[in-house]
Amino acid sequence: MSDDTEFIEHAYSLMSDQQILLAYLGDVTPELINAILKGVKNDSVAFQEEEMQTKKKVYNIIVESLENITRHSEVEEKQLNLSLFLLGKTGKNYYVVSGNYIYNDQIDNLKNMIDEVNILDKNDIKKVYRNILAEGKISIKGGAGLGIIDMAIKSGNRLEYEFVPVENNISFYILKTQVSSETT
Amino acid sequence: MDPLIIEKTEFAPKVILDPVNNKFELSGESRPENASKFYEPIVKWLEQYQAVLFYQKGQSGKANKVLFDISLDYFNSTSAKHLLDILKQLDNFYNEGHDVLIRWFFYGQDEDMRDSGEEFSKLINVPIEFVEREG
Repeated sequence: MSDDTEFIEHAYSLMSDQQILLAYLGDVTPELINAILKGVKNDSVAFQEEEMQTKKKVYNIIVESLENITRHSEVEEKQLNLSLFLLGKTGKNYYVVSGNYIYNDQIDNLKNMIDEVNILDKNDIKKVYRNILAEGKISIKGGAGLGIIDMAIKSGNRLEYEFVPVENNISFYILKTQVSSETT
Repeated sequence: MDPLIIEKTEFAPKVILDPVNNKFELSGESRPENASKFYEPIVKWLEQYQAVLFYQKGQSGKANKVLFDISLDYFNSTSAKHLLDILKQLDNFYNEGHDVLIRWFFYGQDEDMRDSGEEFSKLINVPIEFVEREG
């Protein structure tokens, strides 16, 4: 029995008190991303009543989360590329959770970046966004830096993360982003 | 110079670069699967158009008018870098003395889209006019 089921249960437990609108476990391909986004656009996830701004924020975060997964999840040791995507709702809050394998040597970079973004206020985050954009600097891997900063701006909340150890050099990286429809 | 027209798809924007009718437009949604591949020809086209404008201005002594409409519903962070490349190219036109105006369309409720336009405007000299969309 591998550890794989443990971290998946763990990710689901982050959403335990929530209504899950969409859940996916498996390989995240460009085709899958398109399919999920079509579903979200066509309101197959009970979005209809929401304000335009909230919808757009959630949509935005879904795209960046899914693209983040495809950016990071090339862990060769894992034949089965098990990535996780969840969209949930509690009361007025939407949650987007992404999960994917990651090599441990990427953890420090990611932690530092998310921690840094989490302590900044909105204006300062925008400044960082602008700097990265202006310098054309791709901070980690294929533009992940800008994606995470964009998620923080759209969310307006702290980004929550966890790295669950899987094997010696591999962990499962879980990122949870929240959008409150009340504040928009 | 031949126009560059790209029809929109569900996840890639419509592009009109048409100097004959003086119509420049980018609209729709932008998260193409391969953003570099999508945006490269657009930036290249604008680079070439810069040379055309330069030549025309040399001939006529008059500045050219370029009105560039950006009306996006959504763009991802990867597209943002490429949008900036386009805006910088328009900045080159502007810095060479052409009469350039960018119109940035957004829905009234969509503050994030307006904010994004404002962030871009801090990185270029060309004026951006913000226009609220209907609906």
